[in-house]
Amino acid sequence: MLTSNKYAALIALVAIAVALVAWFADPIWRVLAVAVVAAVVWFAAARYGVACQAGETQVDPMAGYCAGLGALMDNLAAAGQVQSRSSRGELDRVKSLLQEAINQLIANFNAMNAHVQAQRELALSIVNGMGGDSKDAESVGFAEFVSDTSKTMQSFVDSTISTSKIAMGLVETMETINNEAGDIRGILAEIEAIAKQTNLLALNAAIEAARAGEAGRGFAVVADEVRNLSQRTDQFSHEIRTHMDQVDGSLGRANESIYAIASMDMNFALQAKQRVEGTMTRLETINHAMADAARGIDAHATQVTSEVNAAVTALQFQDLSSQLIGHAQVRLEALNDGVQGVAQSFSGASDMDAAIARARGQVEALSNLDNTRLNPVKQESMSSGDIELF
Amino acid sequence: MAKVILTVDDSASIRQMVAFTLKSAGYEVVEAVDGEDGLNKARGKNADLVLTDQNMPKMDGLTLIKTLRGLPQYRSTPILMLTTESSDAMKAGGKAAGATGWLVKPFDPQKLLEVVKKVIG
Repeated sequence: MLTSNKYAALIALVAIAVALVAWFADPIWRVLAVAVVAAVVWFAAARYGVACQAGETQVDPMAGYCAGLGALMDNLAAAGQVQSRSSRGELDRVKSLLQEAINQLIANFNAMNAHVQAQRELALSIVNGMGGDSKDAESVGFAEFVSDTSKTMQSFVDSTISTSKIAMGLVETMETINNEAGDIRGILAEIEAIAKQTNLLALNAAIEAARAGEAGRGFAVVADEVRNLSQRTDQFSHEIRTHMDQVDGSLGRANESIYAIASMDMNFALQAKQRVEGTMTRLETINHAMADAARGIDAHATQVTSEVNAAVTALQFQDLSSQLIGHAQVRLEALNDGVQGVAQSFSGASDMDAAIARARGQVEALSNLDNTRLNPVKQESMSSGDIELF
Repeated sequence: MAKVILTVDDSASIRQMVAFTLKSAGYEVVEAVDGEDGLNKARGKNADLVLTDQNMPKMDGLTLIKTLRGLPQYRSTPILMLTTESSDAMKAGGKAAGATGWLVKPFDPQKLLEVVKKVIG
């Protein structure tokens, strides 16, 4: 390869040679000299080529292209470096953003699942124990509660009806007692009449005794005693009547109370029982609905668990993507290295053939990159991978 | 007492997902960030099962398995590989190193639990 300096010296030499020939020789030689010189210069340039030289300030167009190419390559290297560094930084940011988001999402999904499971536990405990722990012996099951309430209502109605029946029986007894009291009153009237008559008889006997004079004196004493007896009998009879009147008053009040109880409408008890039974039936329906709802919640919780599992499988895209991004970064790095290598091959090169050969080597290394670096991520979808036990 | 499972993976999210899945089933989980960390933690605590990734910095999964198999207490402990690698050559390498099974990512939590239950009950 001729440097541009040597090429210029060659041209200067042949110019001097042509000038000498032109000065001394015949015209035919002059023409011949010009032709030979032109051929030599052309041959030298064609055979050896002309190279640029570093730091040269030349007007030679070839040297200008070479310097331009070198500068272009330097620019390419710098731009490649900047772009590659930026891309690497951006991919790193993508990886860290993904990492952060996925960690958050996993925590969210876990918490969501935990809350749904707790909700399921609560729903089941409500249905099993009606607001208490199902394992607690003190808590009463809802069905048991309904049956207890129903039994209590039945015994309440039964005792109310039996009270009513007893009161009716008492009314009859009270009538009998009243009749008996009436009879006693009749007997008392009889006793009073007897006493009155006895008193009269005693009075007559006293008169007759007085008329009999001394002979009737003893009889008069007897008649007087008989009269006293009749008066005491009358007094007792009056006392008995007074007591009988009090008994009568008490009986009358008792009669009123008993009659009030007996005549009370017992339907209210039956109606109350029916109402409570209706309420219980409704409560039972609600209870069944609650049990159904709890089973529904249970089924949903199971579904949520399976959905969370699916989400956990899908969220692993981050691991795969990060690995793929990592491999893309390695490739990007290699691409940048290639660009830097090619640029360096031309930067300040004086021998173009050697520069091209070096650049070709770099490009080949870049082309062969795929075969030398294996990417382990072969997954094409997010469906769960194979499992093999040895 | 809960069985101890050692999960070795350089990806924090995978460790988190594996730990969440196994803890919810009542296992105790120890996490390690690479093969070397895994080896240290395996030495420190006798794990009932080791679940490891393949490609990790410092020490890869196959090396970890080979090293663990050299320790007396890990001669017969189940070791499962959980990795993105799915080539038959890698699986054969795992089998030769002494792995009990090979799970390809992404894993399904339900299936992971089934496999774990199968190998350690």
